[in-house]
Amino acid sequence: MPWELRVDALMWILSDGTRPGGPRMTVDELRRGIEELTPEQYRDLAYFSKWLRSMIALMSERGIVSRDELEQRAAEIAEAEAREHGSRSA
Amino acid sequence: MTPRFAPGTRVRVAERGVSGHVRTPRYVRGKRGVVERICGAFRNPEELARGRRDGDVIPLYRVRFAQRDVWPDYDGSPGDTLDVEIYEHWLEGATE
Repeated sequence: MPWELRVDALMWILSDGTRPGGPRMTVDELRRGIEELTPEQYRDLAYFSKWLRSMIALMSERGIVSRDELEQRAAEIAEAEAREHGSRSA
Repeated sequence: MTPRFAPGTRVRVAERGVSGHVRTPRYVRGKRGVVERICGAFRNPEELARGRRDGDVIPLYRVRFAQRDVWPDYDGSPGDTLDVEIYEHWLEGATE
């Protein structure tokens, strides 16, 4: 699955107003988050990378998930994938 | 909230600098156009962008500009127009 599809799905889930507790963000906040990137990021990042950066910043701002938690989880996934890859090739 | 401007009304887009998220393009600020239609009323995106979701709904207009009025060096057809959707708090009555 292209990673961009996952980013798009994440945007729909986080902005879904029918979820208990209400939407975690609005599309207006997503746009604001994109506009708050540095000029270099705004120029160089791919379209869906900008979305992802904005969503990470917004969730961190709202205290829903911290950057540390995200990085820790990403490291766990990378480790698990490395292990799986290692056991397959063994 | 009752719309302040009826279709056909001449309006001018406020010319102001802003920080934060706005939906009014810089290139039409200070320009004059005509209300083409009223699009409805929606919450202010400037408030929504900062996480305020319980603000009032405000009228949104589709404003039609002559391209010649927007771009000083426009060399296309004199009849060319540009439509931009603009929230009421960005519009002033045009005195002309």
